[in-house]
Amino acid sequence: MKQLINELKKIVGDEYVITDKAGLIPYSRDYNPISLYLEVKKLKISYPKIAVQPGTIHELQQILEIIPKYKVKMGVYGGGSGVLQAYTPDVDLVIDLCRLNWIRWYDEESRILYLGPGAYLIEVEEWLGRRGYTLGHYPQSIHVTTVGGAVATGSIGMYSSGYGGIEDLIVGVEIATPRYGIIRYGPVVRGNIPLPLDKLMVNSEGRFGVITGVYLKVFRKPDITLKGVVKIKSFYDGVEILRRIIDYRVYPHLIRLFDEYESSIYFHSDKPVLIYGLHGYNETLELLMNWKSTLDRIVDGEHMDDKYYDEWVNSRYRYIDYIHRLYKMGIIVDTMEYGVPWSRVKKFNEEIRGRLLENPGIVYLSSHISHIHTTGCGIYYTLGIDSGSIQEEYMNIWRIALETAIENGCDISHHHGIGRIRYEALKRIYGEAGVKLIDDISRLLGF
Amino acid sequence: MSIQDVIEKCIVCPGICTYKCPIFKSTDYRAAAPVNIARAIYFQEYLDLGGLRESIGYCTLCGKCREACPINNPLPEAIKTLRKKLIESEELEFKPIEPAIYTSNYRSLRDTIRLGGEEYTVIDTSELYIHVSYGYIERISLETSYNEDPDIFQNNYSIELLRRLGLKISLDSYILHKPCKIGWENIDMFRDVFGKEEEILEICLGGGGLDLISPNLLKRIKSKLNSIDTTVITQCCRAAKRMREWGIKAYTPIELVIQYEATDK
Ligand code: SF4
Ligand code: SF4
Repeated sequence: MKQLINELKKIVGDEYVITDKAGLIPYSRDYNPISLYLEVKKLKISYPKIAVQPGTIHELQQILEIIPKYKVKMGVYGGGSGVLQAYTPDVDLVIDLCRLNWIRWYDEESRILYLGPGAYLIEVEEWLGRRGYTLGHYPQSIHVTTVGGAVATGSIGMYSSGYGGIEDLIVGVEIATPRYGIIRYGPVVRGNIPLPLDKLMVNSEGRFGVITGVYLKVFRKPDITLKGVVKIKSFYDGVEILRRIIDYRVYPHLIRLFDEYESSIYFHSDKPVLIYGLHGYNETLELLMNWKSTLDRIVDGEHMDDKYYDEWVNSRYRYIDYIHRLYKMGIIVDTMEYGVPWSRVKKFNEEIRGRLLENPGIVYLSSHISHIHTTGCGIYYTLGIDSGSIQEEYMNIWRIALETAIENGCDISHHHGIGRIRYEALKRIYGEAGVKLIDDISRLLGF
Repeated sequence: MSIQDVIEKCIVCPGICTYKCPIFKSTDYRAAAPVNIARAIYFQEYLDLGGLRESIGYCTLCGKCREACPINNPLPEAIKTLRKKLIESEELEFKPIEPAIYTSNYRSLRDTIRLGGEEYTVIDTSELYIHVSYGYIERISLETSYNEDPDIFQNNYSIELLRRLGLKISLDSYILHKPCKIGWENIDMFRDVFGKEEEILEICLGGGGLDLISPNLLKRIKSKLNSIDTTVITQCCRAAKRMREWGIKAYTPIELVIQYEATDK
């Protein structure tokens, strides 16, 4: 280990090789609830042995080249906002990409931005905002997510039906690999080639390379947002409305259907609430107004004041207080999301709710649909788990939920990724051969 | 809210404020980011005091984390209280650094304004003494937290004077350095005088004495700024001086006004 530390210091400089416990504490976990719980309860606090912070791509490449010699386990750290233990501290060496946080190049005319993997999404958004542009990418973790992390976990944001997920925004990528060195692809307009690297890196979770640069699409910042907040008769009536919106292809930039529980929390409503937001420009105001009135007609229900839309958007990041209050009451919050084909929404939703609530450890369960696609939607569940049983029940709860998803032909992940928590489920849907293919590609690249 | 409560909220938070913390931004040292300071305090029995001291010592108490925090968690206040306790119990060494006045050459300001033949009001800059201790920047003359009282503070600044005088200096482009506490002025003041900035640099350049505490941190800061070749306007005279030593064209507003007047007349 000593020799490795010395070699790392030679590459990046003394101050960027961290080996003391206080310096390593930031790398003790990701944002997975069980890891968080064990740490907060002081039951398990673990650290990697070394953290290294390369300042250039060249330094990073040099690090990757020396690692095989030492046969150490390596992890990559972006913003630490993953929730599925894709990053865990049971590695010897963690490569922290926070110094590669540049905004390097901007082709304003083509609306392409080139970013370092360690740039925080929120900072990029603020930088663009000052220039009149936006990525339109607002995951709940925007303040703590880095660009590289967003790509590596297949992130999606609340304006997904307007701007797409990260897979729609990415138009090029640069990666460092132990065996093939640095490979760059893009930026492209559509990039009709075999094995487009940018798409390969989406949700790769560090398997195929360390992301060292990302090209993303950029949009003109909207001048206007038109909003709607509507109480719907029932959750499944809301689902029908979402399908109609997809059929007519009039999807707004933001759309979200809350179940009864979440509607009562956010909107004090006794019925499910559907909210939508349309982004547009002064020059296209007429079009925007027509679009909005069409949507208002399709969304059948009791229309509420717009102010609730803003209230919800503004309170969206206040979840810390909520998590803390529940934590004080002995309840741990976890979240899970599945991609569900339209034809199975009702069956899947009823089944997963029923089966999860059978577990006495679950004291709270709510859901919303926050992303809609032609073929289905993303359903997001929020669970309150009794801390008394979390250690025994945690994996059980996940197993039941994933089994229900697989049995119903749903995606095992919509946008949180696979990590360690969903790895067994990945084997089931992809088969031994599929997983071997992933492992082989990873090995081929030198990981 | 008890200190324990404040710290606990931070440790269940992914650290939403991290990207606003000038120490993290200027050094990339994660242990100095707000959420990790909270964790260091919470887990102090597992950490050696050296490491803990580092984290708690670096914080400038600028309050940016609190401002960015969606629940306005008073983490800086918690750090301040704990730091005092540690200093009192001699677990943390008190490192006084000479007090500094955070305005540029005050006479030059008067002279510049006189040159322009303008009337001026003197704003009492004795209010601007800044006491620095262990990276802890605190106004000793104004009791309220900066967070709660931005108006009083911003009016003390020379830039506000220039604005009131209607002075305009056009620069092709400039980066505005808006660091910790002393960078909390209303940004429009700068824009009114210098036009719109190209970029805002929100990192601490060690003006508060951070460099005296940790040369390693200074090295981190320096390596971050290597590529800047645009003019930087900063309100911190120490930061301006340091950046110039590093080869960056950095000036306080007043220095720029003086330059401008000198070339113009
Ligand atoms: S100050 Fe607020 S945003 Fe920052 S870590 Fe604490 S709770 Fe999170
Ligand atoms: S008060 Fe300022 S320096 Fe201290 S942790 Fe908060 S943002 Fe960082």
